[in-house]
Amino acid sequence: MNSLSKKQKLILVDDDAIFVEIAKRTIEKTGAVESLKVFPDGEGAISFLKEHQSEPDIIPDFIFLDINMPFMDGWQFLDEYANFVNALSKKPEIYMVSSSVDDSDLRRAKEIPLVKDYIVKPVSLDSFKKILTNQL
Amino acid sequence: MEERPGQEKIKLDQNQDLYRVLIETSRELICLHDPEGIYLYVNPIIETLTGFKPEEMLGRNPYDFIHPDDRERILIDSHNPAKEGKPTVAMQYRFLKKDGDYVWFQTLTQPIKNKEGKVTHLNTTSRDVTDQVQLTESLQQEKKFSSIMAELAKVGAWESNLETGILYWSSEIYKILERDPSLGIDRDTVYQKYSYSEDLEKLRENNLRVYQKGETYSVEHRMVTGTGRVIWVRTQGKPAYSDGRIVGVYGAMQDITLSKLVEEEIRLSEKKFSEAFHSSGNGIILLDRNGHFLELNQSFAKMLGYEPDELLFKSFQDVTYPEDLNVGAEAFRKIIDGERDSAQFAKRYLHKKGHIVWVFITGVAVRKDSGELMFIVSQIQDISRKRILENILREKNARLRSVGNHLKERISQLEEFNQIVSHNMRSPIGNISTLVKFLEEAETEKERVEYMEYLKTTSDQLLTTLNEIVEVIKIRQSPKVVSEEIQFESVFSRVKAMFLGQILEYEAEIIADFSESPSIVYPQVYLESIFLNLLSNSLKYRSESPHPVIRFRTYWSHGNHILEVQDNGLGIDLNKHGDQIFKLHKRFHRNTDGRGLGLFMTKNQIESLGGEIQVESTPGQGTKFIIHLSKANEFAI
Repeated sequence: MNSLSKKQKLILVDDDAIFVEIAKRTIEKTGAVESLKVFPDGEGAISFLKEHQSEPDIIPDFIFLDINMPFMDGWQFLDEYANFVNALSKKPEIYMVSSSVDDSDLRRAKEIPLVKDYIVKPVSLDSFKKILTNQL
Repeated sequence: MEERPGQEKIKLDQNQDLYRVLIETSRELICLHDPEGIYLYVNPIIETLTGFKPEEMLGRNPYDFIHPDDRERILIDSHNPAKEGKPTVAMQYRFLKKDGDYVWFQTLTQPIKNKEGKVTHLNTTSRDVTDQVQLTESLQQEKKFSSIMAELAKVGAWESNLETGILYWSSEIYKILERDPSLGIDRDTVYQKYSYSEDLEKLRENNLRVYQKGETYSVEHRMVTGTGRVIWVRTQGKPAYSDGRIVGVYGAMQDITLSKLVEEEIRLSEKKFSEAFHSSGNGIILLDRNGHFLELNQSFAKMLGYEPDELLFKSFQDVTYPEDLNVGAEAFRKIIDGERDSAQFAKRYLHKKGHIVWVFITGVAVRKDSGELMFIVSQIQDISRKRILENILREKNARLRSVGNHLKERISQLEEFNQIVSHNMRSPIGNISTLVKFLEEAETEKERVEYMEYLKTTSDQLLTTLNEIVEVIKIRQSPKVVSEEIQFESVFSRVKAMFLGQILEYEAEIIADFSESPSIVYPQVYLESIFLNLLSNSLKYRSESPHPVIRFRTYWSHGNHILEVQDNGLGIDLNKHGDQIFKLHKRFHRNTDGRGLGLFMTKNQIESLGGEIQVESTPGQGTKFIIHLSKANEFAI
């Protein structure tokens, strides 16, 4: 852990309440986080980003995005996100975080340039640390 | 005899009366003419011969009576020489009778000279040669005919005299055997030069029979012509008798090379046809215009399990499979009417044992030059085996297609389960493993209790998902749930009763119309579940206004039994959710308690029975589910 690194702002988009709880605690332990916002599906996150698109202090540094969600799933979020990403005052790094080990999901994620990487659940403390301190 | 000027110059002796008697009773016409031919005396026979009386002739010119065509000939060849005192020859010419007909006379004209040698009179003697002339004419005609006939028929006559050894050939034989007639012929030459050695013995035997037994013969044999050609002739021989003894043989020889050739060709072509007919593996039949068998081969009889003789008394209609009596009938009629000459079609015959024989028939009309139908030759090919193979192939193909579709479906199911395992099961398991680690590292009791709570929730969630999956797998793996005939109405009313409270609360209008197809053979539990899920969905995703209207109806379309459920509810954005609508744990509406299980189960139930579910929807307008309860069976082609 690099104590000198700046604190990060995060958005977690996931409908799995238990996972969200676990993730919150793990991320806290990294000590690299300034704020963490949780949205149970894509739509909430999209609205938030749109609302604050011109406020770089509020736009997160990272978005952890689940695939499988009701109403608006991870893919639909990305489709929507792509429509206004250029209007964002800051570009968050997007990580797909999913329990799916399905090759088709992995391939699909890799084909989307907006996605920085694909992380398979469960996510260990070390993984979160590496991502948040840009040590990947 | 009357006194006439000049007559006194003839000196008659005392026997004058005798001459008169002789002349006047002569059967020959005897006349005395002056040098120019004018009649001076005509004896009485003239009346018998011509109808004219002697006195009618006196003073007249014979040329008045001679046929115009004969006059010049008479003048030149007879009259003129006679006038000059030269001897003449007998002439034949036509002489006019009183009735207008002509009589043929043969007349000799002789000059009568005086002492000075001057011709003073002409004497003619004539005979009626009409019969002779006619005989000669008809003989000449006969000769001409026989010569023409001999030439046309290539028949010649021959005679062989046993005693003298002389051989005679008519001119036609010389022609047939290409020998110069002026060379004549003798027996040795015939044997050495013109006989075909292999047939010589046969000829000798026949000739010997004539000599010894007096039998006639007729034999076909070969000869060699002057130019070395081998020809076929028919020689006929008959004994020639003299004083009751056989002295020779005579007969005819005809060149039959051409007809022999034709005969041989016919024989060959008949042999070819007969061989093709009888040894063909295909059935061949000759049919008359009524469809009766004129002739048929062994293959055809065998094809239908009969002996050839049994079938000869039948017609093709008798062995045709009743349903196919009209197959080819039109073509057959057209052949008989001369509208066409051939036809091809497949039909069924009935085997003697009663089973069906599929055949392919090619029928061709055989007509006389006049166009009249003689018979129809039909080739019958047994295609039963081919048909069976084709059917097997078709069925196998259909099976393969079906298996292929089934496999595709299986693959998509596996993909679906893979997704379920990935998303719906891996997720809680990941949580559990992390929570267990958290639990181990927990420092306070409070923390421990908290993690235990999470663990419990997650494991419950996992168990529920697992149970759901097990349920679906059960549906998938036992598509042979018991089906029975069910009235849609009765199942539907039971389901509707379960939702009575909600229906009343929401003032929902439920319209069910199963009149087009009131019942189906289907597992009751599934149908109940399908109705339940769809009705529950429609009620759950109703729109606030207007009040909900939900229609159920069943009908048939292209062999598919269809259930349609339409509501005027919230609808689903299919562009967004179209590929997810039937997936597990998918929800598209907030503020509802759906778990995303109903449509997933419904789809699995429908598909496990070979059906299909489709959805049409517009957000704000409503949703329509179209369910193919049974899909058209592709085996039923």
